[in-house]
Order: sequence, then C-alpha cells, then structure tokens
Amino acid sequence: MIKFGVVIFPGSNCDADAIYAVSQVAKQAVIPIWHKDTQIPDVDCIILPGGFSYGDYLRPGAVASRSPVIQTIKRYAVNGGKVIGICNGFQVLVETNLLPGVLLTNQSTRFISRMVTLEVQNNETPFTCLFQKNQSIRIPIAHKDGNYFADADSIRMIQQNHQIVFTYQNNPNGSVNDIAGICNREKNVLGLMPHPERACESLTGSSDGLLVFQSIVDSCKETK
Amino acid sequence: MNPEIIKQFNMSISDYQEIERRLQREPTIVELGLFSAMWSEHCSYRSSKEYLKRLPTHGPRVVTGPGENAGVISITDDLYLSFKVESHNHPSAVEPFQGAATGVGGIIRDIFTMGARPIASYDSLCFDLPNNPRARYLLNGVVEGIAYYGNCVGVPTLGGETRFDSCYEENPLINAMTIGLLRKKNLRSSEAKHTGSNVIYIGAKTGRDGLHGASFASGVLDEEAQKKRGSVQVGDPFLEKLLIEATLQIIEEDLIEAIQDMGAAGLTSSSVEMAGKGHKGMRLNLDAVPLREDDLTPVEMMLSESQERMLLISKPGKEEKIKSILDHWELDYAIIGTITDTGNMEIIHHDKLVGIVPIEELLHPPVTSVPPIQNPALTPLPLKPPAGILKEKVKQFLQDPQFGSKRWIYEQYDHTLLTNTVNPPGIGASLLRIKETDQFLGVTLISNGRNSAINPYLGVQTTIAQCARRISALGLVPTAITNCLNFGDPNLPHTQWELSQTVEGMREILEAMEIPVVSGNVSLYNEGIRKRIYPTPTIGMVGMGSITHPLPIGFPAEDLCVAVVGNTDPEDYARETLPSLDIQQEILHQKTIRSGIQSNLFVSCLSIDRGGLLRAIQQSIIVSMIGFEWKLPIDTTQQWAYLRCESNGRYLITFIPAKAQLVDQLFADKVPYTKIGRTIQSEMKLDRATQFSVEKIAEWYQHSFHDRMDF
Repeated sequence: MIKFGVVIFPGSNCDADAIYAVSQVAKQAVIPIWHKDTQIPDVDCIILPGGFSYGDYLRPGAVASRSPVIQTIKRYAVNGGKVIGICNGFQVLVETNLLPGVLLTNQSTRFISRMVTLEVQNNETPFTCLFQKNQSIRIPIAHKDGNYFADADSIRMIQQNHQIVFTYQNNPNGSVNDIAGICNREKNVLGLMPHPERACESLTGSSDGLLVFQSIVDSCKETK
Repeated sequence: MNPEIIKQFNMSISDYQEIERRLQREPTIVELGLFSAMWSEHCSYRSSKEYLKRLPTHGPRVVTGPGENAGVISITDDLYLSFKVESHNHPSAVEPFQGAATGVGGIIRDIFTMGARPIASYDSLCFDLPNNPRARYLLNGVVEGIAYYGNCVGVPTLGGETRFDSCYEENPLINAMTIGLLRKKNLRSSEAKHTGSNVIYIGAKTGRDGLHGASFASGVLDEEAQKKRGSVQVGDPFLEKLLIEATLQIIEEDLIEAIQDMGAAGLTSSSVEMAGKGHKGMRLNLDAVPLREDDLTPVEMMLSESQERMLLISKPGKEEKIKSILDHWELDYAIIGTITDTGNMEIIHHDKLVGIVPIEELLHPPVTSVPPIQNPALTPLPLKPPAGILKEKVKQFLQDPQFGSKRWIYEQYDHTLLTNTVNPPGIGASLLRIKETDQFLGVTLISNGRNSAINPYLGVQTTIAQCARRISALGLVPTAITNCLNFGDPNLPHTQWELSQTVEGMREILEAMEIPVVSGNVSLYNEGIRKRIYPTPTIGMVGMGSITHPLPIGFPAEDLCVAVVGNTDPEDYARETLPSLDIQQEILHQKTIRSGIQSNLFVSCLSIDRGGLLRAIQQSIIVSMIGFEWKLPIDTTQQWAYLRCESNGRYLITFIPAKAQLVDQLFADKVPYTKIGRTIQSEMKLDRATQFSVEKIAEWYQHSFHDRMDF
C-alpha cells in the first residue's frame, strides 16, 4: 500500500472525494494535510484537490500558492516527490510556478460542468503509465477558469519535452492546443482540469479516472 | 408612536394597536422591530398556518416533521436524511444574482443546522417566456447566482425544473431544495433546554445588508419594492463552506444543546424561536455582537439579514472547545446572551435594557381571517392547440425551447461533486447512491402553476402523482415530501380559496399514498403591479430503496419493444379541465412498475408527465441516439392528441422481445398497457409522412433553449 497526502485549504471542496477515491476505491492509505502545516508527513504522492481555496479571492489558486504548506510542497516536488493538482489544484500549481502557463476564464465566461472525452498524449509519466497512448477516456470537468494558456515559445517547449499529458477531444473551454493536463519537465508534477477522482466507479458515470491513481501506485512500487 | 415610523416597519396600524394593547404601553423602537419581523407573513405564517395543520406529517420513517429548520426521515436505523425546499422569490426579482445565491445559502444552512452534511441541491425556476429580454436577464442572473454559491460552497446542484409562463413576468419563482445526510447521534434541534446556558454567535459579522428582508418579502412587488435592492442580502459561499465544517465538527463533538441558523429576520427570529421552543427566555447583550460597521443601532442589529451566521446554545463548560474549532476555521465567535426562565426576550445595548417583550406575544400574531371565495374570472383560458398536419406539429414541439435541453442551466452547476450522482441532470428524477450502503435516493422537485390555476385541488395532486411516478420509474419507493406554496396576496379571498383547495388536495393524495410532509415553506404576496402568479405549489419528493443495477435513462439499444403503461386518453388533450386522476390506480401502477424493475423485466423506464408521450419519446431518443418506430394502429386524427395528452398514471418502458410474455403477465389485466412500437437505428418514424432523423431531433433538443440564452 502506498501513502497519499491530500492537502486541505479553507475552501477546498473536492478533498473528501479525493480521499474517498484513493482510500475506498483504489484501496491506498491517505493522510490529510492542513494548509498551515509546514511539515508534511512521509507520503508517496501529494494531491492538491479541487474547490475554491481561500474562496478564489484575488485569482483562483493565487492565495493558496502563498500558503505555508505550499512552500514545503515546492521543496518536496523539486526533490522529485510526486504531486498531482486537480482543477483548483492545477490552478495552484501554475500560480506556484511548479507548472508553466496560466489558467484563464473559460471562453464562454461560464462555469462548465460536463463529462468530457480526453486523449492520453503521454503515457510515460507516473500518473499515466497504465493508459495506452492516445487512449480516449471519459472524465468530468467542473470549472470556470480552466482555459489553459501559455505563449508560443512555452508551448513549443512543453511540446518538445512531452509535457502535454491530456488533451480534450471537443475543447470545452478554449484551452490552447486543447490542453487539459500538463506535467513538468521531470514528469513528477501533474496538473489537470478534469476530475479523475470523480471517475473511479462506473456507477457514477465512468471509471477511467481510477487508472490515474493506479498508475501512481504502480510507479511508486517500481521506484521503491 | 409616530405613524411614519410604524410604516417604515411595514406594519399595519391595527397590528400596532394590538402591540400596545398586549404590552399595555408604547413599544420601544427595538420592540417594534421585533414585532414587525416576528409578525410578518414570512416568519409567522399567519395566513397559512391554519391550512398547514391539515397536512399529514407522520409516518414510520419520519424523525422530525415540520417546525424545525428542516425535516428528517430515516434511511436506516443509524442514517438519516434531512431536506427542505424554500423560496427566494422577492429578493431574486429585484437582484437576481444575490437573491438566488443567498437563497441557496439559506437552504443549505437549514440542512446543516440539523446536523446533516448537505449532499445535493435542486432548483425550481419559474419565469416569463424567454423571448422577453427581462426574463432572460433575470434567469441569467439567477442561474449564475445559484452556480456561484452552490459550486463554491461545495454542494452539487443535481437538477430541478424550469417553467416559462407570462404570469411570472414581474414575479419569478426561485425555489431551492437541499438534502443532507446525518448520523442519528448528530440530529440537533433549535429548542433551548437549560436556563443559564450561553448563547453563542458564530460565523460572519453583522452588517446593514438585508435589513427588513422578512417584511420586504411580505408585501407585493411594486415600484417601491424594486427600490429595495438594499433589502437583498449578499452571500459569501466561501464563508459558508467554513461554517459548514465548523458547525458539523461542533455537533460531532457534542458541544451544543441547540442550534439555529440566522435566516429571515436574522438575530430576531433565531433567538425568539430558540427560546420560544423551549418555553424559556433569553437575555441578549448586543454589545457583544461582532459587527462589520460599529455604528449599527440595536434595531439594525436585531433585523440585519447578513448571511452565514448561526446561533448556538452551548453545553455548560464547552465554550472553550467551541472557540478553538472556530479559531481553526477562522470564524467569529462571541457569547452574546444567556437562556433565562422569564419567558421574556430582553435586549441590552450599551448596558441599558432597550427592549423586553414576552416571547409568547412575538410568536402569536393576531390572526386575520379572510374567507376563501373563488373568483372564476381568474381561471386561465385553455391553450390553443397548434395547427397543421402531424409532421408540422411534431416539428414545432421538437423545436420548442420549453421542451428543449436545459443544459445551458445545469452545465453551470457542478453536478458531479461528492461522487454520488448516478443520473446526471436533465431527464426524470435525480438518482444518487449512498456510499457504504446498498441504498439509493431519488429526488425530484417540480411544480405546475397552470394546472393549479385551472383546478388547485387536482393541480397539486397531479404534481404529487408525477413526482411519485418519477421516483417509481427509478425503482424506488416515494417516501416523503417537502413543499413550497407560492401564492399571491393572502388578503384576497381567491388566494385563500386557492390555498385551502391546494392543502385539501395535498392532504387527500398524501394520505392515500402514505407520504408525509416533513418540511416546507409558504411564500405569499407573489404579485406585481399588473400580474399575479398562478398558485404554484412546488413539491420536492424523496424516494429510497435498494436497486441492484440502475436502469439506463432513455432508449439504450435497437430492437426493443416500446410500450406505454397506463391508460392514454386522447380526450385529455386540450380539454378545459385537467386529466382525471385515479389515486388508487396511480398507486397500483407505481407498485407494478417497481416490481417490474425489481424483477429485471424492463431495459428502461421513464415516467410520462409534462409534454406527454411525445416528450418521453424525445428524451428517450437523445440519450443514446437510438430511434423509434411507431407501430400502434391509430386513427391519424387522434395521433397528435395521443402523443401530447398528459393522462396520468403512465410510463414509457422498453423490454427485450424475449421478455414480452413476462411483461404481459406482470401487468395482466390490472394495469392497462399498450405496445406502441420498437426502437430502431437512427430515425423517429411516427407515420409515413412524419419522420425525423435522430441527429435532427438531438440538434433541436440541444439548441432550442440553449441558443436563446447564449447569444
């Protein structure tokens, strides 16, 4: 069994779903981490869950990226620790500069909650090693600010480094190059707007997201 | 007292005289404020209380009936469900975004006040037709407000309904329902229990927003009302999210005796109701109230409707523990009073007693009775049926925004959060799983004002029957309801007639179906300058049960038999009266449908209600893009009426041909059922001339309403 840490900011609201998916469906250990903690427990992967950390005041993810826990997580990531940011967690990761680019307001200017189809662009990451390359998967989105943007040079860089992990089949929010999720150069930090933790059981619409967590488990076992 | 001041408090002279009579003196300003709030229609239900007493409120699963913040029923011995629907019509009519947002915040507070974690919200929205720009402006603001609050606070919005009728032009209806789960040991009440206990204020600071909100909601919407935008509260869902976590932790650790949220009339109604319920008194020290602006007067503090605030009565010695939880969540905390045994509400400000009133007097306004008399001139005229051949009529229907997808609305609501959503919003009742049990919940929230305007007795019965059908079509048992009665000016005899007929109609069908009412809300004065709304009872029904595998929504495959369960009477179409309703037959159909689902006889099942069979076919087609071919020999002049009538007791089912005999046996001769056709590849074929491709039907369905809103 591997250990996940789930960070809880005031205003996080997908923390319980992430904990449920990891502990009850993927059957792994989970430790909650409070935003004021400066020490983090010994975990194999940290999840930054979705929600509205600090009420999205200023800009989604902006306040959270200055929180005490994030300074520690930065060091954890720089040292190769696995971090996955989902939705608001992705916004936190770009605000923290652990991932390149920004997340703008959706092109429609509206919140979009919908099941979408993604394509796995890179299955050579610790988060996607159990997927097939170019596999189509169904995972829901629910966000207002998920329109990924980076300038042309940055896009070229992240393409060269195979940092684009997931793309949308029918781009719902205007993201450049249909980007739904990207990782860092080292492939140990992933940010994505869709919610894999909400797609872990077919009863609630799709179980494709479970492979993300199972991939992490697999890759952790390999490195151990 | 100066009549101008009395008027400012939206109080009638006769009510004022009654206060003087009861107090045997002139009230202070603070006391007048308390009376104006507590005697308002919004807080006191003075015009509807007598009727509401007639509703059935007991049943084997009822844990808490009407009278608390929300109703509670049992799912298992240890697991309870709390739910309630509430209106926020008046605020939304003048400030749609904040009006709707705070409506959602208010109903969610009612649920966690009971000790329950809110798991889903639903909304019933009634507006003028979307070709009216103001209706679109209001609807846009309301939907954004619901989305803003619900998405951020972390409670998914899983469905509801949208209705368009010109009667809602000046006065749209926004009814919000929330459901929540709780453990038996965490059930809480608002009743003050022990003299000497501390009264604790938690949550947001008090400001000037929402002043006179309760009395504002107790008058008609005229030009003056439009100027009262300042009476609309401002919501902060982030703060409420923190308040949910803090409150549920305080309850889990068993630190309080009682709890009440500060909703309409804020501190006044919460404190008066808590003390009143326990036949106690309360002394409030306003100097301790956390303030946003420090020059608030005592009456402003008592009447402010600032959001995201709660009142707790602590268990002795637990104050420090409560404070540490609030510190963790960075919320305000203040001991602002104590429970007394005097039966009085005492208000202290700057160390002076500024008001002292017997709580019993606040809780019992004089009842003015208006006789219920029908005014037949207010009955709406029947709708004109469309002209043309069948193909033209069907096409018009398929392009009608009323029957088009409401994805423009529900895609703005997070509906997958908390991972309980089995059926996404859009079609039929909402279906949720309950984690770590084998139980499922079915929830539906619908109204039909037009039916109630034609016949309030049968109208509400039809709505309740439709709810029960939707729940049964999921294979679940209808268990309990909450209701919101949206009506006009209670001083009109006709409104009183509508109310009494509605309540009588509800009583009869609920008793027969053994479905209790566990919570509800009454919203009166839903009138503008020119128009009054149809009497609009909104019914929120909850059903439960275990199902081995939920049926797919819509037609899942080709070559299935398609049948209508129940009797279709084409004469029901375009009649001046409502389709008849045989309650016993309705119950029998529900039971039979559930047993068919339990025995795994059907491939899919959808109840037939608004829009008739044609809408059920339309919705069944678009889910998996499977077509339908009509096979039933029928007189062509009758086919449109057959497709569009809203005869009661009906379901659209599909089954594999190999099970036809078993299906025959299930219905035998007790439940009429008619095979109408089969599912086919890619078309809807109704007759030789009336054929549409599935793609076309889906395109119209997806765009007819959506494109009107996104422009």
